[in-house]
Parts: sequence; C-alpha cells; structure tokens
Amino acid sequence: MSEQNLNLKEKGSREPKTKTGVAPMIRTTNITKWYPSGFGKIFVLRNIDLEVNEGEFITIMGPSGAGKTTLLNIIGMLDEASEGTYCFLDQEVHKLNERKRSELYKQHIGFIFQSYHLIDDLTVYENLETPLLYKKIKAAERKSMVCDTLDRFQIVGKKGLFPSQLSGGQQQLVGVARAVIARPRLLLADEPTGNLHSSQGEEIMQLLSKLNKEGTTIIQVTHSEKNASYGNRIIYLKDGWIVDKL
Amino acid sequence: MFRNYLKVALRNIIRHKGYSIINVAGLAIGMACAILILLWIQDELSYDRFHQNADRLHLIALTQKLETGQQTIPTQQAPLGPLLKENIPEISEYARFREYFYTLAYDKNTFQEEIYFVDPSFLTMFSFPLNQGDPATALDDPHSILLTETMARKYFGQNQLVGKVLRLNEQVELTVTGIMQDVPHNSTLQFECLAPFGLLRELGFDIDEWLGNDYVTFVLLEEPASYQQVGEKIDFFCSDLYKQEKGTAECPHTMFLHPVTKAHLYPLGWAGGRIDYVYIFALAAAMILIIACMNFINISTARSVNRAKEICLRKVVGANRAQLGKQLLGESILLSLIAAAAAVAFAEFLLPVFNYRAGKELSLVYSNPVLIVGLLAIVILTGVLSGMFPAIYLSAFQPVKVLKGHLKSGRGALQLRRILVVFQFALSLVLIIATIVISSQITYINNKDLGLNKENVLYLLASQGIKEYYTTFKEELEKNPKVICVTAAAQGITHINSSLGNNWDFDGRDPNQRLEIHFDWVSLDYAETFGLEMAEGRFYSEEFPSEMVDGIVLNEKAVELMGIKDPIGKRFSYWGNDKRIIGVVKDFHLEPLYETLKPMILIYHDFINYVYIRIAPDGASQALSYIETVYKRLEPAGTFQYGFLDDRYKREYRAELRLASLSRYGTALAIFIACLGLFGLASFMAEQRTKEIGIRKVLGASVTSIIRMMSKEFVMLVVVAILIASPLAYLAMNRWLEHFAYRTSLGWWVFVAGGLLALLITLMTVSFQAVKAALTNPVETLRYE
Repeated sequence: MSEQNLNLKEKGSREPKTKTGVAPMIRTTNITKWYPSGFGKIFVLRNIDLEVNEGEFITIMGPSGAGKTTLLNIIGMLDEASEGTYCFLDQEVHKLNERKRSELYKQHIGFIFQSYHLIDDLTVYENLETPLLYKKIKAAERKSMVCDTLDRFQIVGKKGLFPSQLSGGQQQLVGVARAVIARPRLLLADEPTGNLHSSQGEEIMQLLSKLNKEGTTIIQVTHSEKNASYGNRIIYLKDGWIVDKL
Repeated sequence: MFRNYLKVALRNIIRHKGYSIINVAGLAIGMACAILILLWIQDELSYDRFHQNADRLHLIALTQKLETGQQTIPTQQAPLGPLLKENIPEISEYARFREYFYTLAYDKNTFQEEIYFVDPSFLTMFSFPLNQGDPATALDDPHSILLTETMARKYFGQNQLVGKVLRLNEQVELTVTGIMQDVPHNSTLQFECLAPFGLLRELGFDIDEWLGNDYVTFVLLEEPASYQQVGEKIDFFCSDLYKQEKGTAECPHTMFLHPVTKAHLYPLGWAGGRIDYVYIFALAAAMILIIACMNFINISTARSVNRAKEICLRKVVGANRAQLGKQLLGESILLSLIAAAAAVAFAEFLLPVFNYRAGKELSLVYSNPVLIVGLLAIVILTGVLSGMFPAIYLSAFQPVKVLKGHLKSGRGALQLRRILVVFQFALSLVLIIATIVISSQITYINNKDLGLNKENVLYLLASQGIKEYYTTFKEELEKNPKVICVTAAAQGITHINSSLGNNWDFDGRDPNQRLEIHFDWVSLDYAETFGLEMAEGRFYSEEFPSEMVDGIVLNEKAVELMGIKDPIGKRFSYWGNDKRIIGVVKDFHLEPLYETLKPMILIYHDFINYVYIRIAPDGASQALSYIETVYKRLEPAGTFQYGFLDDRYKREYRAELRLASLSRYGTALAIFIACLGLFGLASFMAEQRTKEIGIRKVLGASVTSIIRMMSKEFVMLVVVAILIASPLAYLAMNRWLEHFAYRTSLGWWVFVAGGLLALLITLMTVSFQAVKAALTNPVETLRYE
C-alpha cells in the first residue's frame, strides 16, 4: 500500500514547469470555509494555501467529506470562502462583487460536473451554444464554434437530439464539450468519470489529457487513482486540511 | 438570444401541459373578466357625451331645506325656463321635458304610448339626429309629432311617413313632421316620440301658471366652463323673486345647475346612483385579476424546484442575475400573451350573455384604441406582476447548493406561497360574502311589506271610451267573480310625481315651511284595490258622498312632516280649495327602497288615466279574457294593452337585480380561478411528497391519516383567510347598504355561510389530490429509491 502511495507520490510530484518571473494562475492563502451550526462552526476547509501555475494538471484527492468539491467550487468562483484570500490571474477574487466575478469566470473557467447537468429542454447543439450566447458572441461565429466542437468530439450526428435521448457517456461528453467550447484557460472537473463505466471514462480522461497538452490548466477532483495518474500533481485533503499523504 | 429563450419557454410550456393549462386558464379567465368590466365602465362613462353641446347642457335643480333634512328636486315649474332665459344672459336656450301617457292612433290601430313633450329648442340643443325632417322647424307647429324609426315602423310598416296624421287621445290630430334615429342606449333621456310642449295647453295642462314642479328643465349655456357661477346667478335671481313675492327675508330653497353629462352617474332624485357601481366593478375587475396573478406566482414558485437545475446551470455557463431575470420575466409575459389571446376569444364568447345580463349592447371593437391599449396594459401588467417574484426568487439560487441536490424550496418561498393562498382566499371570500349580501338585499326588497299589495293587479291605460264610460266599465268588470276590485287614478300608483307646489295650507302651518307634497287624483275603491290600510279615519266611499267632494286623504308621512295633531276633521287647502281631512292612509312605498317615503295626498276626482284591476290569483287567464271582452264592448276599435303591477316594480330594481346576477357570475369565476391555483398547488405538493407518503404507508399510516396530513395545511390557511376577510367584507357591505333607506340586516350567519363554503371548496379541491396520493401503492413510489 505504502509503496503504491510512494509510487504515485513520486509520479505526482513531477515538478511543474515554471517560467521564471511569471506569477501563478491561482494563488490561495489561508482559505477557510465553515458553516454555522448551533453555537459553533463546522469547518469544511482549513487554511488552504495553494498555488497552481498555468498549464498544470492538478488532482485533488481525499476521503468523502474532505472538502474537495468545496475547494473546487471556491476556485471556480461558485462559492465564497469564509476566510482567506484568492488571487486568480492577479485579480483578488475575494474582493470582487458578484457581477465582476461572474464576468471573470465566464471568460476563463469551464466547469465539468459529475452528473452532466445539461439543460433538458435544449438539443445538444443548443446546449453547446448557450455559454456562447451569454458571452454575446455573434451568430455566425457561434455557429462555427459549435460546429467545430461537434466535430472535434465526434458527436455531429447527435446535434439535434435532446439529453434524454443520449446515453450517460454521451451526455458527459456533451458536458465536457460545453465546458470547453469557449476555450477557457482553466477547466475544473468534479468526478468527471464518476457515473461512467471504465471504457467511457478512459475516453474522457484521454480527452482531458489532450486538452492539457494544448495548454488548458486542469484541476480535477476524483476518487480514482487511475484518473489521478493523468495529472502532474496531487493534492491530498483530509478533514479540510492539505496533508502530505493519506 | 431571444430565440433561445423563446424555444426554452415554449418547450417548457408544452412539456408540462397540465400546469401550463392551469396557469393560462386562470390568467385568461381573469383577463376576460377584466376586459368585459372595462368595456362596461367605458360605456357607463360615455353616457350622454354624444351630444355636440354636451359640455354646455345642464339641468336646473333645486335643493329644499326641510325640518328633516334636505330634498333635491330635479324638476321645475313650467314658467321657470322662459323666465330665466329672458333674465340670465348666460343662458342661450332652454327646453322643458315631460312625459305623459296617451293613446296614439293611426287608421285602425291604437296604441298606448309614453309621449314626451318638449320645447322645439330641444332638437337643436341636444343631438338626436333626424333621418327625415328638419330639426330647426320640426316641432314649431303645436300639432306636430316626431317618431323614432322603430316606432314609425310599428305604426306605418314602411318608411315614407312624414306627413302622415296620428290621432292623440282621439282628441287632437298630429302630423308627423320627422323621423328620428332610435335613441342610443347610452343616453339617459330615452323616448320614442316627441311632441311640442305647447300642445299641453290643449290637453288641459296650465303651463303658464306657477303650479307644481313637474317639468324637467334643461338649459344651454353660452360658455362651457362657468356653470357653477351661472347656477349661483340663477339662485340669486330666483330667491330674490321668492322673497319679493312672499315678503319673507329667507328663501328656503337653493337652485343650481347639474351638468347633463353627470346625469347618469350622479343622478339627482332619479332612481339609483351609478358611480358607485362603476367603482365596485372596477374593484371587482382588479380583484379577479389579482387572484389570477397570484395563482401564477404560486404555481411558478412551487415549480421552481424543477427549474432550479436549469437556472443554476445557466449561471455556471455565464448568465448573470439580470439576464436570468429577463429570461424568466419574458416567459411569464409570453404566457400572459397566450392567455390574452385566449381571453379575447373567451370575452367574445361571453359577450352576448354579458350584454343580456347587464342590459347593454357592448362589443369588442378591435379598432378602438382604448381597447388595444387597455389590453396591452393588462398583458404587460399581468406578465410583469406575476413574473417578477419568481424571476427575482429563482435568479437568486446558488448554483452550489442546487447542483449538490441540497435545494428544498427555501423557507422564504414557502412563506410567500402561504401568504398568497391566504390572500387569494380572503379576496374570494369577500366576493362570496358580497354576493350573499347583495342577493339577500334583493330578496328583502322584493318581499318587504310595501304597505300595498302589488300582486295580481293589472293596469291599463284608459282610452277615451273607457274614460267616458268608466263607471259602466267598473260595474261590468266587478260582475265577474274573478275580478275582485276595480279602481282608477290620474298618474297611476307608480308615477305619483306631481306636486302641489307651494300653494297649500292647513291650520297651524309654519309659513316658512316648504314641503314638496305629492298628490294624485284617485277613484273609489283605490285603497281596497291596492290593499292599503287606513291609519285613521276612512277612505272616500259612496256612503259619504259629501266627503268625496270636500274630503282629503293624507298619508302618515305627510301628517308627520306637517306636524298636524289629530288630523281628522282639520282643514287642509290647496290651490285655493278648502278641504277637510277625512282619513290618513298608512304609508306605502312607491319608489325603490333607497328613497325615503314622500308625503302625499290622495284627492278624489273623476279625471282618470289608468284603471287598476285586482284579479283573483287563480283563474287569471279567465279574468283576462273577460276583461278584454268588456273592454272591446266599450272600445271596439282599440287595442287591449295591459301590464302587471309587480312587473313594473321589478323594473325599478333593474340595476340591483343586474348587480346581483353579475356579482354571482363574477364570484363564481373568481372562486374557480382560486381553485385552479389551489388544485395546481395541491397536485404539486402531492408530487413532491410521493416518496414520503409511500414510506408512511409502509410504516402503517391509514389512508385517512394521509388525507388529513395533506389537507391540514391548506385548511389552516383558509381559516386564516376567513378571519381576515370577514371584517373587510363587513365594512364594505355596510357601506353599500347605506344606499338603501330600508335594508336587510348583516347577520353573523352570512359570514359563517361564506366561510363554510370556502372551506368546503378547499377540501374538495385538495382532497382529490390527497386521495389520489394516499391510494397509490407504496411499491410504485419507493421503487426508484
């Protein structure tokens, strides 16, 4: 067991390429999150100090309830920390208001969920189109971007179908497509293969790997050791703390 | 962007057909009601505005101070009009207006008609267009007459009829000098034929003397705006004259001008005040629309749980609150538009029934700008009002909570839905109570002891032959066992409008007291035919022929207002004739029960216009054919036309009866809408709790306990609604009943009945879903655990 751990750790602790003088994409200091309960607090995250450079492929691992998803949500600006600072691309996110934050993550971050979460009333094409609409991209350009993505993910034939007409794997594929269509710099993935069987999961992970090689920074949360191996660094969380090993 | 929203909105609507239909139906019904009511209000406000001189036409009215308060009289003495025109420069024209019943004959056909006598200037002051004839000269000749188209057709059948001659009362020959267009329904002045005022002299009316206040007098002013000042001028002029003539320092009455355009909604001394009904209906329209909107809000927020995922997803892919808000608001406006289309169709469908019930000729004129603007306003208002809360509420969802499945509809929304249900039901309850009260007031009026027996009494207009041979007519009729009693009168018991003027006196009268005493000329057996009771003394009778000549009968009100003690035997004089009081009749009601009793005297006279016949309640048709036979014997050429007295009374309450009927419909609709909403909420709740109910059943809950559990919350809300609505309804109804001099009591049973009704309706609506849920097999519901 420990050997395996050691192996992984070695593999996972390949040093990221740092260009000297370039600030990290993500820097958090002392991020803490709690919920009030009775007379006290329940801590979900404690003193998280994190630095992620552009181009990395990070995996966050840990037992259930360790706060992985919460951390991902905070990084993705879907949630706010109770304490601490968070800088994204040199912007102090914790100081921004809702509108500015929404602008920021709209532009740079894509989110992949475990349960796909597609809009049921829209076709595949329309689901892919939606983020582009909110970015006010012109119709012609939208069309070309969607067609491109459909092509790339090899789902052109499915563009007129509704989510209820697709299998689980196909839906997740569309979910990933939607997350990357606007070419975000950062991709956050919460258990991207959780609901899929192994061969579908493989496909997704290989896709993510390819994206990372093309320059997209990826942070994934997963239970699977196999998935973790696709990344270049692992961060372990336990009871809200970053630990060296589990 | 817009197309995307539209697509989602439409697909959403189609996917949840049930809720969509409930929503659209509720809104459509609410809007249709609002449309109809707005049409009605628009029509009411348009009365009398079609005259070209509308803003310069006024009525001369008089307020009299009495010991018991004030009396407003809309009629004046005959010579007043001409006198004022001569002396007040601001008055450019005057016209008098008064109707009398006469027979009109052409060839062999005789009909009884209400003839309106007007000064010739009437045609130029008011805009009642003539199809044939010249309004400037049509009534110049005192022997002319004008008919409306419908009336002309009745007599002549075809069109070319100027120049034809009609016989009035078999006394005078009148030439038709013009044909008028039918009077539109939105005119307070309604008539079918006009005759010149001067003709009245020939018919025996002294229109040059200052006798009773019998004539409506209109004036046309030079300038539109200053009518209050002109009114004051008239008042000074008249009171000066009065003081000079009577040698007194004070004039007990004030004169003023009342604009004709206000006559319909703010009538003086004429039956019924309409402006209150305009407010009531406007309020009702608003309430129904609000109930429909609340439905929408309720169902939307309840179903928000299902929309939450989509909303949060959109947030994650980059929508901000404003964009989401716009999308949701757009959806509700879309629904509102669909509902509006349905509403217009529905309103068209309902229009004939509505017109019939409301006594109007309304129609949806699509080119009418007011209608278009009004409709748009309703659509946008409804869409925005209904959609605003869900838009704000839903766009505030936090993606994190939702996507993890932690979202239950928040406490805030639950509270809001509760408040909305309570409010909806409170409003509906107010409507229910209002309907109950209105209906009971109408029944009360219909059944109230009027002091006279109006059942089974028929009346007919006496033609010349009947007038001449009245005594024979009466004797012959009374031979038949089905004819109980016969009498006659000059103005008729429903028409006692003429007044003595100021020319009356009795011993002990305060010379400054001015009282408007009404009178009528009556025949023998008047009291018996109408079942009037004598409070003191006796009525005219053949046994006391001297009393028929110099006796006078007063009513109790007259005695009270005049302040005479022990009236029997006392002197009473009018128009220079000294009489003795021989009897006091118990008060009887003539006018709608929102007017208090008038003081009156009944004078024996053989001048008659109307004959009243009381027949036995059974064998009415026998009696009628017998009466007709007798009639034909005395009047072989005449047409036997008659009416029943109780129908006459019913006509006076038309407005109230209509209100009662419309309020029943309105309330039923409002309740229906509220129930739709409740049904939607209940079914939604059942859907949400299917799993919970399955588990409870497995643990041993009985069907009844589940039904109870589901209904409990709604029942509680309705009880709260009852508590809120009752005091509101009480206040509102009290206010309405103040219109009536005689009113039904507002008993506690009304509120209890209303409350129970609401409770019953709630239980029925909710329990359907509750029962359905309770009877589902737990195996089905727990399968997808």
